[in-house]
Amino acid sequence: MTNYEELFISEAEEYLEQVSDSILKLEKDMNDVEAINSIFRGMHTIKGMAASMGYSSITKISHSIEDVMDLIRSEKLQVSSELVDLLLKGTDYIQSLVHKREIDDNIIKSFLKVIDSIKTGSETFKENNQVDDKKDRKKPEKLSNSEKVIKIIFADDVVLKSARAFVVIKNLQDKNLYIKSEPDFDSIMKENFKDEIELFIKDTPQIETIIEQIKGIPEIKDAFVLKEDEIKKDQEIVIEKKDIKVSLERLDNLQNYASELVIARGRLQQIAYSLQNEELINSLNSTSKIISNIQDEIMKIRMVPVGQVFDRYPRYIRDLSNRFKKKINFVIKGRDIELDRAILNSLADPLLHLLKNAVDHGIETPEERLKNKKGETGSIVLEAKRVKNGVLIIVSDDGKGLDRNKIIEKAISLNLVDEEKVQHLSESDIYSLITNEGFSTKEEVNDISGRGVGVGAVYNVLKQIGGTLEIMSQKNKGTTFTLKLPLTLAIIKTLIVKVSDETYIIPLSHIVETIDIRKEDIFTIMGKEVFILRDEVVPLVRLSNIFKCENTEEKEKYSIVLVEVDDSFYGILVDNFMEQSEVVVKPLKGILSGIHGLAGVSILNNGMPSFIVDVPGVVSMAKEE
Amino acid sequence: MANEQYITFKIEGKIYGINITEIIDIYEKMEGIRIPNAENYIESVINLRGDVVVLISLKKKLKIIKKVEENYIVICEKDKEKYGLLVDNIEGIINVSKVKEEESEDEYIKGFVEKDGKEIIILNLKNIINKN
Amino acid sequence: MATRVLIVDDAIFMRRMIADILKKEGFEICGEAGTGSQAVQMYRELQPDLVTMDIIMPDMSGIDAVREIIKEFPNAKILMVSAMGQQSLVVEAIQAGAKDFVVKPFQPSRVLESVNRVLNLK
Repeated sequence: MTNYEELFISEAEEYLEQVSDSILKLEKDMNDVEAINSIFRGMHTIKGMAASMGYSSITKISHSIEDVMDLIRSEKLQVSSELVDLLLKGTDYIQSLVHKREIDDNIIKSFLKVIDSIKTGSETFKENNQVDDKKDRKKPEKLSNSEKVIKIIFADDVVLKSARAFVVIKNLQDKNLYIKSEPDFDSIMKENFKDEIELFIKDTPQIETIIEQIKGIPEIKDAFVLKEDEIKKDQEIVIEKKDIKVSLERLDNLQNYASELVIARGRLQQIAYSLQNEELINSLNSTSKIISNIQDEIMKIRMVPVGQVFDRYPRYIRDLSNRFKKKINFVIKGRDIELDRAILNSLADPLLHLLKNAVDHGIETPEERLKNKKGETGSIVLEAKRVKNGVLIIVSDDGKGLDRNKIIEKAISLNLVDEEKVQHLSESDIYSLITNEGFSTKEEVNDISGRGVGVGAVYNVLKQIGGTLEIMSQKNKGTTFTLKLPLTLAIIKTLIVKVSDETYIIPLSHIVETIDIRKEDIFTIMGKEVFILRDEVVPLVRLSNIFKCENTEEKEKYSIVLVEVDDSFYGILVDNFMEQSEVVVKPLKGILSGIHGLAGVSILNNGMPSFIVDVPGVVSMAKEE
Repeated sequence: MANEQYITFKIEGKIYGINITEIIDIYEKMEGIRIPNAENYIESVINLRGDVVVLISLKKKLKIIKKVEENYIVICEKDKEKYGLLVDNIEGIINVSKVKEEESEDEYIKGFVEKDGKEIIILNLKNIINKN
Repeated sequence: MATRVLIVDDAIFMRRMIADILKKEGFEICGEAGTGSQAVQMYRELQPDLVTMDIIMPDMSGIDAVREIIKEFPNAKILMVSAMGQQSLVVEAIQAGAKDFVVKPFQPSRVLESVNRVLNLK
């Protein structure tokens, strides 16, 4: 593959995503000018790129869609749901062609024919109305150098602020001057602005007249053209595009080297301290700071907004809800929240599973919903939220909910729990049973549990990246999956512990505190080892038992790592604490994947590998013992 | 005529071979750590120049009784992951025109070839490096 | 000649109120309509200089009426009369071609400001 091809595919991919996102926006609001413009611009760019690559089919399809969008822009054509379908179809064709999947010539021909008929149809309409603005067919891309920004300040007593803003925008649109706004159109329509907005327009000699007209609009306090230096800096970036493209492979390499650097630094520090050479220690400390800075910067490069993945789903949900004959309002929140690219990518499929389940099993048919006194249209919300130490991704639906009793029944039949234990399980524990593989592998389980397929897979991915999954459900109210994720993947702060003659790594994120206890402090209640911490009975998790360590000796003193899992405390019993350390997490792959109690592996400062303990995993293993 | 090369090695007196195209490197045995709760044939993981590599005990996988310690690791790759196979000693490289692919009872054995009067057992790597 | 205004609202009370405000300023009320379809029909007959248009009405909504009118008379000057909380409908109406809006309950001066602005538009 040539460099050009690679670049073409990656860029075309980006524009296609933008376009299909906008098509879906357009479907929701057929007058969404921003979406119309965005589809037009995206197709225009794809057309240009494809033409220079000599891809004639892509060029033709994108050109035809561009034309249609232009007609819509100049209001000679109305958006309809049939048209939206057609736009999506065209986007699909381009997508396939970009990825070198052949499409029958006849299919493309008939598509272009349909588009043609639409175009001529609207042409007649235009003649009837005697509207002529051919001269307005300018390409917006070329205008970025001659833009002006107008600041609009609203009166204090403005009512229906969004509508008022729209009067101004429409005014500029009618004059064919409007480009975009700050905040963006959606935010303006949601009244997400204080009492001023900025509108980007094409430069025109009549700008003073236009300002006067805007000032004449009721409830507008003031309007004026911003001077060059008053325009916010990030807007300039939009205009000038100061970013460069870096291949993901290079970025990954860079990160790997930085991670290795962190390991090498640790090794050096060990040597320096054992030599007790102050000069060496001091110079190493300053080197160490620089390494940390490099690490931080690389991490930041790797952060991408979750929207990059979330925005793929509306299309999918739309197709799926049509297929299953469900009515669904799909809402995405927090698409600007940033997450490590690797984490985000590893979640793309699991989230797809969860959303598919929500459509297929969660949301009821419109008839069922009406029968249950719910609105016909179900709702699925995909939300990202920043929390301390990480990000939450929440998938919730207002569907029928999980069937608690059937899950318990199934879990007992699969020997995952026994009837007595079930009594002690919390709601969340019960729903978590569906993450067990037994639930996810068998086909028929789908119908029994309502969910199943994929949830196990989601759980495994989360385990690998150090995240957790919480499931809550209420009959007839819906189900909520909460994925808690670390902010970045590669490096985590940990406590290194010794268990008989082995070394294990416990992520600090789970640790509440560390405690030393004597042998006599350990009691046995109902066959389970516990210890008393500030008048509270805390179950013990003896890591040497869980990991079946050999050469374990009865000792006088133990060390306890107090961890918190699902709002309860547990004491992980180990022999000694070694040190706190930052480690580079490597996921367990291939034949190591899916081993219980392990979340990953890392190479320690002494050069030996060591496993990272899956804290929730070992806690549940201890419960089952 | 297609000429194929095989790396041959010894395990408890018998000679085994793996197609050279499936092998990345050979190392002397190094210390690793035990993997708790893993299948018994998964011997350990080692740090191989920054990569965490799983070592597989061919003796346990092929149900051969262990009398001597293994000395070498044959590194191969499956699904972009590196694995190390523990063997006693490296014999060398052989050129054979054609491997007699036999219907084998054993899923881990691909077939047999004869070289200088010795029988060499060709291993089926795909089935050996498998979760089950 | 006085400026001729068509008032469209399903509530007689509202029509009376708007009419009073405009008459005081010398406008001529050339017609009153109580539904969207009636409004379209009367626009064709009267071709007024200005229409004040309620949004929520029986049979055809004010927005659809705007669309119908603009389709035939692209230069029609229509002022939407909206209630609070109908923001998205107002936006739709503007998109459809209405030139401005006032929100009930309104001050006479506020109505006149919008009426005059719309009339001065080219």
